[in-house]
Parts: sequence; C-alpha cells; structure tokens
Amino acid sequence: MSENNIVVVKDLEKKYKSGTHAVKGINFEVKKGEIFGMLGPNGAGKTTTLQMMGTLLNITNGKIKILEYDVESDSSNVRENIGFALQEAGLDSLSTVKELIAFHVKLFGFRGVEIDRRVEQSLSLLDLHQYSDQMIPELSGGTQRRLDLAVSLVHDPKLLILDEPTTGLDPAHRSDLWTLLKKLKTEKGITIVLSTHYMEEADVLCDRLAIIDSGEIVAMDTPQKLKKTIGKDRIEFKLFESLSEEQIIALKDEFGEENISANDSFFTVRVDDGEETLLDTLKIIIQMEIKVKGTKVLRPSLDDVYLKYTGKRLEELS
Amino acid sequence: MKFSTILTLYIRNLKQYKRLPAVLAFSFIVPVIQYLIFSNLFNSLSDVPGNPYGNYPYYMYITPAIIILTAIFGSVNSSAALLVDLNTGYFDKLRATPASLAPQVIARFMSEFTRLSLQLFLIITVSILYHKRISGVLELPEAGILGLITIVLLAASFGIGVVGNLVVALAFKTKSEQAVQAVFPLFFVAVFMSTAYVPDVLLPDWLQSAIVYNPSEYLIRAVRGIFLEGFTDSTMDSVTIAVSCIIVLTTITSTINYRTITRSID
Repeated sequence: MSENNIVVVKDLEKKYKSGTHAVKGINFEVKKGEIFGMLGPNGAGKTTTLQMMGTLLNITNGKIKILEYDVESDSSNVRENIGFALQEAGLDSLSTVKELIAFHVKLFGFRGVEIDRRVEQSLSLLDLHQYSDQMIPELSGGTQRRLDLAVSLVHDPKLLILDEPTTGLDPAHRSDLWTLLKKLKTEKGITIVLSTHYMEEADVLCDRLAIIDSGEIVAMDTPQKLKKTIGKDRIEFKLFESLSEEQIIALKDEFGEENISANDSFFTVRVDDGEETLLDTLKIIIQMEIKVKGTKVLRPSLDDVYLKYTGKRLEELS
Repeated sequence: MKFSTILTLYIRNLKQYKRLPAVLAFSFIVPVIQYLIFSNLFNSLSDVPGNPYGNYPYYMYITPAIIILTAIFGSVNSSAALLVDLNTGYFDKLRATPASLAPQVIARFMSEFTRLSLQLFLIITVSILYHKRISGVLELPEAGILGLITIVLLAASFGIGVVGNLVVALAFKTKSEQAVQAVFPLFFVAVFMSTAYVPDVLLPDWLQSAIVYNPSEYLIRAVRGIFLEGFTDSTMDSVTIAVSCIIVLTTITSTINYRTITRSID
C-alpha cells in the first residue's frame, strides 16, 4: 500500500443472507486529502460499501484497509480513526446538542478540560452555538446534519465517511455543506469518502469519482476526465426553417461529417470547447445564410457518462 | 473493548432515564397499585384453613410476587431506550465509534440492571412502609439488609438476564415497541401460574403439577424464603435452585440474543 493511500479496497464483495449480491468484487484506492465520491442510484451498492468500510457490516470476500488497518481484524483501530455520518442523521433524540457532542468527545477517550475545548471547537466549526442547549428533535433537518458532522469530527478523524450527506436538504443547506466539506479538506486535510446520487454534488465536490452500478464500479476517474470520455461539447442551433441539402453539405464540409447532426427544427455542431468557439461558429453559420433562432452550448454531463457506461440515465433512476 | 468506553456509555444510558419518565413511572406504579389492591382484596386468604403461610399477613405473602412483577415489568421496559437508539439510527452511528456493538450492549444491560435494582429497592421500601402502617412497627425482614440485597440481586438478575435478553433480542428483530410490549402478558401469566399470589396447597391440582415447569416459581420460592423466613437451610436450597435456574435460562436467552444481534449486522 502506498503511503499516500488512506483507503485500499480490494476485490470487495458483499452477499446478504437474503441472496442479494450487493457488491461484486470492487477495487479502489483513496489518496490522502482527497474527496472521493461514489456515484450511483439507490441500490447500486454504495451504502453497503461504505458500511463495510465503517465496520458496520461484515465483509463476504475481499479486503479493506484504512490507514493500513485491516477493517476486519483491526476494526477497533479503524473506528478510532474514522468519522462516519450515516444516510439518515442518526442522533440521540434524548439529549441536547452540547450533551451529545460532549458524550462523543468522552467516547474517544478525552477527559478534563479537553472535553470543553473540543465541544467549543465543534460548536464553532459547525456554527451550532445558538442551538447548544436545544433538544435534538427540535432541530431542523439541516441543523441535524451539521450536528451529525460535528459529532463525527470531534476526534479529528483522518478519514470521514459520508453516506449521501445532502439527501433531503434544501439547495441552500446543500451548498453550505459543500462549502464546509471543502473547508475540512483544505484546512484540516481530512480525507473524505462520500456516496451520492446527485450528479452536481459529485461534480462540484469530488476530486475523483467511482461510478457504481449494480454492485460494480463501471468507471473511475476525475469528473473532468470522465466527462472527456463522452467526447466534445455540442452547440445546438434552433432553426426558423429546415436546412436545405446544400446547407447540410456545406456544414459537413466546414466542420466534418462526424461533427454534424441535424433534424427539421435544429442541428448540432460538435466542437472542442463550446463556449470558446460559439461566436466563431455562429459567424460561419450566418455566412451560410442559415436562419438561426437560438443557440445553446451542451457540455457532456456525468449523466452522459453514466449513460455511456450503464446504458441508463441516472437522472431517471434517481 | 475498553472499560472506559463501557463506563462512558453506562453513564450516558443512566442520564437518558431522566428523559424517559413514563418508562420509570409505568414500571414502578403498576406493581405498587397491584400490591395495594391485592393486599386489601385478598386479605382474608391468610385465614383459609390449610394455608401454610396463615401466620403471615397476606400483604407480606405477596410482597415477593410484587418484587418479581416489578423485575419483569422493569425488564420489559428495558428495551425502551434501546429502541429509541435503534429507530433513530443512533445505535449504528455509535457502532462506527469506539462504542462498537459489544460495549453498547454490555453498557445497556449494566444500566438496566442498575435502574431495575433501584426500582426493586423502592418497591421493598414501599412494602416496609406499608407494614409499618398496618402493624405500627418499622422493621426489616428476618434476613436484614443482606437479605434485601440478595432479593434485589436475584430478581434483577432474573429480570435482566432472562426477560431483558429476550426483549432486547425482540427489539433488534422487530425494532417495534408494540411487539416488545406484546410479550409482557406472557410473563404476567407466568407469574400468576405460580405460588406468587396463592400457596401451592390452595391451587387447583392441575396447577400444582404445572408450577414445577414454571421458572419464575423457583425465583418466587427463593425470594419468599429470604423475605419471610430469613436464610434458613430450606431458603438456601431454594436460592441455589433459583440461581441455577437463572444461569441456565440466561445462557439460553443470551445465546438467542447474540444470534439475533449478529444476524442483524450480517
């Protein structure tokens, strides 16, 4: 295992007693300081994988090493060094915010003034001061998520595992959480592994991404490189009237046959950088006396990537 | 598994009870009400010819039964706080911390044992105060403080070891408070089908034959022996049988519990 690898997953498999083969021999590594995402629809095997990493589920086959500790044979060391926030913010509904944070600080063996110091630090980091004496069920969903993160971070874990951290949050809270996770990465150097079915989240947050479908990783790379595998940007031109045969031939001559597709109401031109070349492309098209009603630059999305590797649209599955 | 982790969880569990007053009240008030009603309703049972306990007032005869009933009531409710953790997902959250599965379960049993022991001391105090009200004498039972501690330990061990293990297994299996509460009548009937309220010679013949198969009967005999007669030879025999019974049943129920819990994470 390279010194830089915080997580190494090798030939990981999970078969439930019900017969469900949830994870089918996946492999990946997560480097120090990276935000690594697992993108896929519900039932793809993301949560099962994360739960095996977090010592919550037994492993059927394969190995997981976290910070060089084997998850099965050295689970207590793994638990000392990770923070885990489950899909649902699972919190003690019988305590206040401050009591819960203090309890988690004590669980990790801190005593005396260190307890107060860490409680204070958590309240400040997650901006929870105003709720410190409130009972947990009285908090909003977004605040509960923040508290869940706070208790997962009290011991300064080297690895933070987040299962669908923003599911159920409104866009504003979601954006706040993204900012916070980026801050944790840059300021505290925490390595983060998260699962999500939001493509935007994967795109904005993750340094690297594994696309997971039916228990298998079908593609893995940076979001940018994954999108590059789809091909060029497309510029879509809406038409006032259908293209003539001559105009189609002229377009194919100008941009190459493989880069043009057309129907009655619009045609598209494939280019390397849609935004950069839009004006130049438009000028050429106007010179061809094509009457354009509107234009749109279409960049490959992670949904296109998902479609390419699985034959399904993630947007529809989610 | 560190002891300090178990201790931290144990203290947290004890603090939880202050926010579950209904659980504490329900498992204490019901046995007290039953004690006060039964001791008045069936007061004349002591005068029935052939009653071997005729020289004791009836409220003293049923005190052991009420102690056992409190142990059972309290143990059935022992899953309440656990169910809160299971259903909010907090139990799983804790499993990914040093409070893994075993420390959580051990700390839960320890805190339930503590709570139940305190409740049992409280119900014994009620019976002593009731005795003072009736007889005008404030006195401890024959076996003294040591006897009361033994009674509490026996009843709490039976409650947590046998009943507690079963309800915790059921809580893991169903995650439903209603399902857990539904088992209470079974234990209630088991206490009734013993010499808890009526001495064996006054029971119908079929029940006299059946009580030998009722584990709670052995516990009641031991507790009654200590409470009414002190540490006599026959009481010590009953205590030995009761302890054996608790050990065997706890082994069975904890095996069931262990299997249920480990299956839930597989």
